[in-house]
Amino acid sequence: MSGLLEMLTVPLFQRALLAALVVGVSAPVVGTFLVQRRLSLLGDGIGHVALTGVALGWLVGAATGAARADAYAVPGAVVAAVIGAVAIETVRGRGRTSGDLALALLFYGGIAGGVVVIGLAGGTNANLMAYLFGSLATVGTADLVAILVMSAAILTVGLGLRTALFAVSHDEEFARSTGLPVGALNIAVAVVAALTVTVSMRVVGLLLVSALMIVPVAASQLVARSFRQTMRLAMVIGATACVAGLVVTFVVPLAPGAVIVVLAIAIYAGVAVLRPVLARARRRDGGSREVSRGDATHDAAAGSAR
Amino acid sequence: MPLTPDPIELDGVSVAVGGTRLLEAVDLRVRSGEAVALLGANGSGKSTLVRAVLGQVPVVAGDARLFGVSTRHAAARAPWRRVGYVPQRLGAVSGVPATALEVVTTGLLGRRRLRLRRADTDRAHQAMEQVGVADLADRPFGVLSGGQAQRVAIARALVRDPDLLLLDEPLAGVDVLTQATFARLLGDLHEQGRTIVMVLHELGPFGDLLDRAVVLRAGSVVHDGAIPRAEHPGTAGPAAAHLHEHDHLHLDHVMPTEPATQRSLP
Repeated sequence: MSGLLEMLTVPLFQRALLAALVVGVSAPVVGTFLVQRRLSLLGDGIGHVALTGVALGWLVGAATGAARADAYAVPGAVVAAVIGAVAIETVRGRGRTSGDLALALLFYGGIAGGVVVIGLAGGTNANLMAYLFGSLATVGTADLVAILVMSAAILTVGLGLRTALFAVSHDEEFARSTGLPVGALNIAVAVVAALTVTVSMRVVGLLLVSALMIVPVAASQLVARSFRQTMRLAMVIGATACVAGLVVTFVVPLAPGAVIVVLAIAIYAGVAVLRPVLARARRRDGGSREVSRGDATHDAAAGSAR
Repeated sequence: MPLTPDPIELDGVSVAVGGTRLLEAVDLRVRSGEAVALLGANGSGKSTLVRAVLGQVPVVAGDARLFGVSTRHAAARAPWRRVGYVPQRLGAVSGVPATALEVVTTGLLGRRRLRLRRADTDRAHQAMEQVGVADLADRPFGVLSGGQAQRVAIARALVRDPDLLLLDEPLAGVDVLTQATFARLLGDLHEQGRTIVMVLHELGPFGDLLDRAVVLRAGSVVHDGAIPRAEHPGTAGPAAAHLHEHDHLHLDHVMPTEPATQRSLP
């Protein structure tokens, strides 16, 4: 315990902890909308494209003689991820190519493009490793500021427009008939997903980004009854996995990104195992009213208009 | 343009999706306070007509207007606040749970309302009470029966306090007792002066409520006027005669070779 408190005084650990916490809270917010739209793999597609963006940033850095070779890696990832996400959304919205096929193309193109471009920039695949698997230990002050700003944007859109985004994801046809700007809201989800991918890149790496968005939601929806509850619980699970994973890796020398994802999946497994117990408990104390209400009699006895 | 534009005006509306004509030069006017049924076989274009009114299918000729505003050319300016739509498919049941109440509250959103207000939950509860599903508010939408989900969808439209209600096959998956309840509910709404347009496969319990029937066949209007009221073949009126003296409107007899491709829109 004293060792942990001691760690808290180390600036490197403080930065890593704050980055992990912020990402752990914001990634599941976006993930909730993705799961609702059955686009759980969107984050992976964007992550692969972001890798090409990282390499392109590297190329720009090399061409302009930037002080650090990777100075433009994150901006490159942001730009590529946003373009990729908007492209997927456009394809999906048109309904021409199946979203499934579009995602597959992005997977292959993104990784291959990244490796080719990093070679052109005079780098090696090793330079990409930090982005593929995350590098919490190298989060500097400037990185942290970028993470905080982008997370603030994600949370503002994801929580602020929660009901509108829910409406569009739940029933697009009805949402259109209410006059909601459906196209703009769909693009907003895509852009926010892209930002989430680039923010999470430093914490868990591009290959595991999607896990941080999806797994906490998968665990949460096993027990939650409402959309609101699903999102809240997913945020708690995400934050818990990120912080706990980071703490573990300061004691045992393991890659933080992978440990975080393994923990998240362990939480999912735990919830899945405990679910029948939880459901039984809930039925006993709160749901007796509900159980006694038969569907058939209910339909028949329904009231009419005022 | 008249001072108070009609809720629905279609002028020579044609709809085509992927080269297939789904509607062909349809003219239709629904006046304020009317209750109109859109009848026809599967693939005759009933649902497409409703979607054309809402600007949700590609109108390739003519114009569709909602309260005088073209949904083809100026959809953003259309008075969506006055419209309550009950789609045929009631939203995908996704992995993320959502309560019936959460679904109903989405009906309060609109062009300039991206967020809920404090009083909105109360309004949603009232709308659910109005259609007799107040006690389902906290149930996950995904586990509701067909009839329950349908009523939640009607509550979602009613919570908007709409002047025009558009319902696409509201009886699908609804048992006979609930159908009678629906008829009473819609009768009351009609008496309050609301305009009601319903896509129906058969008249069911709505015969007395409706003012007018519009029958579609292969994308064209083939009848616009009296309700085919005949409960038994033989007492059929002129409109029903037009429909092959059939007591309900399974138009399979009228249109035996209905193209399968028109059954549903993507």
